[in-house]
Amino acid sequence: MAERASVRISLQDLESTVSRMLSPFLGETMARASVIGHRDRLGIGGPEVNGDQVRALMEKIRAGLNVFVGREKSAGIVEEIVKALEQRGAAS
Amino acid sequence: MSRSAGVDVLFLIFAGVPALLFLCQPVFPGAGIYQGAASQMVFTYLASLTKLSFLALASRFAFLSAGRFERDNPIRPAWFLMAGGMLCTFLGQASLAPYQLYLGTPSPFPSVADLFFVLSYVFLVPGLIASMVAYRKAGLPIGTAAERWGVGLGVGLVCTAVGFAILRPIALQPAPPLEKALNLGYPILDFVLLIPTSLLLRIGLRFRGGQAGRVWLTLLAGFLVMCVGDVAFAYFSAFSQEQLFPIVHAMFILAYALLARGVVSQHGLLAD
Repeated sequence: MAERASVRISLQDLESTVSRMLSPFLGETMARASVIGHRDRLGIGGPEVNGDQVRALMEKIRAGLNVFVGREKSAGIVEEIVKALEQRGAAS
Repeated sequence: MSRSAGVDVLFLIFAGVPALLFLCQPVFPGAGIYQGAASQMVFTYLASLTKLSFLALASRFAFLSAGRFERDNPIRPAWFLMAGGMLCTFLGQASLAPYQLYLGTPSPFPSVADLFFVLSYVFLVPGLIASMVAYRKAGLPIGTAAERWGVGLGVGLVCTAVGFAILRPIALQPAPPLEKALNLGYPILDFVLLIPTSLLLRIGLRFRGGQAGRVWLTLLAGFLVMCVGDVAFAYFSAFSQEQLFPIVHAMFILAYALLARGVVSQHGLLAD
């Protein structure tokens, strides 16, 4: 789940990974707009993003997905995204 | 072929073929397929049963989808309201079925069916507005309030202008008061429905390519075609253009099929 995200990752990687994994559900345009919108509202900036910021962003993403796929599935999708971010964070 | 593509093919066959047959009827009225009492009966059955089947499917899956969303999910009330609207449309259509399927007489207008059809808007309009509210609550980027007001007012103004042009001759046509009220009322209610539909369509276009976009764009296309069908019905009915009613049948078959497809997609999205 999003709570366990302890990853440090570049903002660019975060945006591209989350957008890519949301695209099958929200479409490319809305996926990207969602990530950018939440990023701005949460004040996430800088070259690198810490675990708390990833968690906060994932919580917003989960709430957005909730109205399309329900709570259980949105939690599963967010978990997949967090796993992918952790892999990217570990690789970088 | 994926399961979703297979379902698409089924919808295309069961909606596209009857709709095409009805659309061709006013163009080729002398064609053998449209001649004779038996043929007319087959077409009456086809129109009635196709519409009823799609509406039954739409309302059933809309209720199932609504029930699958958690109690505190902001979209749940929206789906229940839309399901209620689809059920009312089904009940309206079902109350016409005895005339169409058993008595073999033209459906009465106005009738109890109109009570259900009018009631459907009481659910559908708030249902669409509730969907927008749910999007906003979920933090989805749906544009600023000023943008939404701009689109809403713009569509409202266009509907008023188009409505005036379409409805004025209907209003001037001599007809019993209730019949005239319904012939004017349906297009007006449709124009009201068009405002949240347009707002959601604007948002939904940003979802295209995704599964959520597929659900909402199909559903909203259904509402749009339904509005066109209602306006066509009011116009043809007011000017006694009964030979053009097959176009109305085609519109409603397509509209209900699109609604059903959208709702089935939403259910699939929740159930997968």
